[in-house]
Amino acid sequence: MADPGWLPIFQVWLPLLLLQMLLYAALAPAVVGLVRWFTARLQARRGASMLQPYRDLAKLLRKPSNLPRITTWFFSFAPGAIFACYLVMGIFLPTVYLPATAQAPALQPPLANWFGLDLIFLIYLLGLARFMETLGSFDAAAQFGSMSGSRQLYLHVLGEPALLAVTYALVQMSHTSNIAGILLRDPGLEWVTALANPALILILLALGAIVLAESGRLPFDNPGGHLELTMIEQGTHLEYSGRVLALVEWANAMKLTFFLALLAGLALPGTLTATPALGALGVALLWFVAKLVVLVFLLSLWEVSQTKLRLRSVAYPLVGALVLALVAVVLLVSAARS
Amino acid sequence: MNTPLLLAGQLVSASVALPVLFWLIVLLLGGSAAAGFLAAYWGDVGRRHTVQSERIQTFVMRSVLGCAVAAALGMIWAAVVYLASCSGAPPIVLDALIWNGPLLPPAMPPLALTLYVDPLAAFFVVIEGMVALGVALYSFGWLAENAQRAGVAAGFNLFVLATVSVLVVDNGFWLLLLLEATTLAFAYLMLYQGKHPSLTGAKRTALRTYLVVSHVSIVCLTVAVVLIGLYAPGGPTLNLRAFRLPGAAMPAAIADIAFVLTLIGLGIRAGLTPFHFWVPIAHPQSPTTTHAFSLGASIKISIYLMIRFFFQYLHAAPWWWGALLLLLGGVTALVNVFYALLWPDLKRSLASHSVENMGIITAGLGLGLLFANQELMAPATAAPGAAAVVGLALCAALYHTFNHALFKSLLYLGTGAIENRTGSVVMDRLGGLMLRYRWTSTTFLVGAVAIAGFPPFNGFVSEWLTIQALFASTSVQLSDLVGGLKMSVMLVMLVVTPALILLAVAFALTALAFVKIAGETLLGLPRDLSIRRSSRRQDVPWSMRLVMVAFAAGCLVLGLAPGLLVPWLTAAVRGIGRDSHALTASPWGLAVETQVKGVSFFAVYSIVPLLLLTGLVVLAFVAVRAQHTRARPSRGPIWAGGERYARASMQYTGSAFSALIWQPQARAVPTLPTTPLPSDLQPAAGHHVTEWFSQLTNRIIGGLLAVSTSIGNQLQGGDIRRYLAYIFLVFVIILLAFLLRQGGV
Repeated sequence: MADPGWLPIFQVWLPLLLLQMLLYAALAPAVVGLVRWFTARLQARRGASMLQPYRDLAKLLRKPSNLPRITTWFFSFAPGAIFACYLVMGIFLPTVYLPATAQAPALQPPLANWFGLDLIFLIYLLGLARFMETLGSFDAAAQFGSMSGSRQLYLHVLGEPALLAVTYALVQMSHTSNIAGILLRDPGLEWVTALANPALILILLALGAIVLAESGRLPFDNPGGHLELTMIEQGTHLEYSGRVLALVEWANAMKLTFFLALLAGLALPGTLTATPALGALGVALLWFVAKLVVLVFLLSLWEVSQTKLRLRSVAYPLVGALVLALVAVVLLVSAARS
Repeated sequence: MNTPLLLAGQLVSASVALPVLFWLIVLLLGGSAAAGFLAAYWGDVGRRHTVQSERIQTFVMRSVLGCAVAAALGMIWAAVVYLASCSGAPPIVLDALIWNGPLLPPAMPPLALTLYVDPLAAFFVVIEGMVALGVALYSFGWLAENAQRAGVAAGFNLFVLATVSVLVVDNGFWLLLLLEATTLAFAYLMLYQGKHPSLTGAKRTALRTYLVVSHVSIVCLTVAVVLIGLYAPGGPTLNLRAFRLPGAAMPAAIADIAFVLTLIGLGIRAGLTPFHFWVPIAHPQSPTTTHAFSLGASIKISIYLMIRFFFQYLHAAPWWWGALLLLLGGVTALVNVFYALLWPDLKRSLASHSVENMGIITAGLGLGLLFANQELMAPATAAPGAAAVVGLALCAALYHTFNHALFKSLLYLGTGAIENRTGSVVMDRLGGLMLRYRWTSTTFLVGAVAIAGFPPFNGFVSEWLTIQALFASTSVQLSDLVGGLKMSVMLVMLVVTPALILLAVAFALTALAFVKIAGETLLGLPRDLSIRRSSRRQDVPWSMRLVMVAFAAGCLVLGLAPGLLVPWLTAAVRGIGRDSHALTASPWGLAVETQVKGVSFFAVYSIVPLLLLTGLVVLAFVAVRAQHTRARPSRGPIWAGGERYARASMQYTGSAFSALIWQPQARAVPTLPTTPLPSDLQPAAGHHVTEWFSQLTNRIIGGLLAVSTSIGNQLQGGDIRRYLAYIFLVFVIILLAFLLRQGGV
């Protein structure tokens, strides 16, 4: 620890990363509100304000919980665990600031990357959150919860290979699964050439399908649905109320935000800043918000033009995503050989 | 070879220390096992059930288990001391402990019992000793009221002795003999509760299946050992030391035959896919405590022997050996996690999961083997990277071996506790165990999260390493091999990518399977009230809780401090002459780095997010708990769409939960079970899923029986003249053999 290289980490990097995390957690409800508002406008409704999710959270956080008659400790443990999983995912995703050490041409493994988020870690965190959510639904001993939990895990079983294949394609591109390395290392990820790289377009398409599935959007799941029998994402929340429900809802909002930020980062990584100066940070923040708004608008546009798939047919888009990612791998490997 | 070894604070010659320790352990375990068998026989034959005889049985059981604890402690201590001496910063020259002890008269030197311990063997001794220690301590409580306690304890000791000796012998003959001893010791354990009238039929089938597959396995291994021995560098020998010498002049075709035979022999023992069917049939017949040792630890000797044979004894490894092993591992993982979803009871389901994990470990070995042969690489460019990938893949496989021993033993011991308290291991008759048995259920839950491979537990470390090894391998470029095809593209597309996808699906399905298992058994409400009424109110005794908590803590510690195991892993990998530089450890986690053609691949396993995750989970739980104690939450009915709802009987079942996975494969009409192995699995009432491999095996068994019957009818005609002719024929053959020998032909 005597290494002087550690000092800037604790003085600049860590505070900024923590701020980034708070920003991500704070922005999450607004993203959900914005999706709803855009969707309403596109459907020619007036729609609730995009701040409505904040009001809902504030209301839920004031209310005490109501539990099923007999539960074990696990039932009240699960929401906190889910929240922690999605919060940790956000901390290590660079949205605004990426430290200068990581932008050096050769990354310094011992120093710069101990904080970097590994994409495989991310896949397993997603799985852990699912695991906790579905186990919690078993503890409530209610049918609807386990029914939708079963569907969530079915989607995850289909989505995990696709996500791993996407990671594999990104590894072919950047020779690391570290997200900081992926965002900064490969010159192919500059924003002018991004669209000229067919492999990257395939990767983004595949990731898009996985994002829709993992965050419970159309055509996989209807986020605005109210019929318990058809629920995938919402069914496991049915038995939660009050403060624990606030945790779960907030966690879900963070999940959506995380995936949109990941897509935005991969599509246009050039907007991240490496200098911890106020002006540069402000510009990068504006860029980040702009990217998010564009993606949210695209998501709303997509959702108003889609209907829900039958449960058995959700395999097709996800296997399609897997195939797209594998095609990207082929392209990248053959490009590296020639 | 007198290598000094730091033992007990003073330098003792290794050639003295090793055999002394070995014979001490043999004496402890073997002697106590003999005493236990005698006591069991005495109690059984005399049908003595007086208070006095029960006391004697308990006393014998305790002494036998005490010997097991002492022996396990001894072997762990010795192996850890040895490993610590090998893994210092400058690698110490001490590469192996060898004892060339005479046991048989000098006229038979090829069959001398010699011992050989290198870091790899010591690593496996630690695994076996750790699980044996846990199981022995746990058995004090588990066996306390068991009618067969003395016999089970004795069988366990014999099983441990045979398993551990396989790891350290250095002679092919003794290796095969001890493998047979392992088989027989486990077969004895399978006789547990064999006199119970409801069990005999299934037990007989299981025992016969086990003995038959074990013998097929040992036949293959015997032929392989003889083949390798015939072509050993210093002339024909059974001494494994000669096998390890470099520069074997074995023809490629013979090496291929030996590889396939070894793969079949060890694949059967490990349960790799076409041969996985016997594991969930045979293993659950043993008592649940020893089940933890057999599937948590003893099954690992096949992994150990795979490393020895494929990486040390068979020198020229063409790339297709590794490709075959890698894909076989992936297929094994996927097939077995699927069947694990279908078994209705915990013991069988966990047995299938064990085989799945063997598949994951085998995939790691296969990846290493794929690049093991340096001659195929373009020497100037690719070799260093390839060597790094070999070491990385081996480290991943060894790490998963250790982790699997931890969490699988934990799960079996939890199953044993559940069986001990409720008398049942059928999942959909249990449920709500968390309400009564907090310790058992919480530790079982930890095991479930660990085996599903989720952070911050240890399963994640080795699954992460396995995936990173697969990633790192794609940057290795092989020279042009087949018909001008660029080998790396072929390799990536045909071998590594399918293996990655197979493993990914298997990992995700494991998570689903353990939500099903843990959710159905531990959470919710009791599903079968008769089980609930007849089960005991208190959790298991402290000795059993202590062992389960220790294993659970081990899972967490290795997840948060993954570097702890790395010195041993790298020592083991270096010990078999492979490069281990790709994997480095620090207090902050693990780092993987390989350099191929100036392109560096790197990945970091950082504990910072893991600590953050753990801290946040604990913090959130404490906060929610504090809220609930401040204002007690109101309790009410659950939401069932406004309908009346009987919670206990209308809960979602595990088979409904996993139906999205198995239902596309299910049929409504069952075939009648007339075959020796189960040809169908029944996930839910009225639904049957075909067990393809059991059906195939049934067909093979049927065909062989028909053939052997017809041959037997021909040979054993019952006519006395025919038998006289046989005797005459044998005489002629013997005379001919003597003639040929004296003629010097």
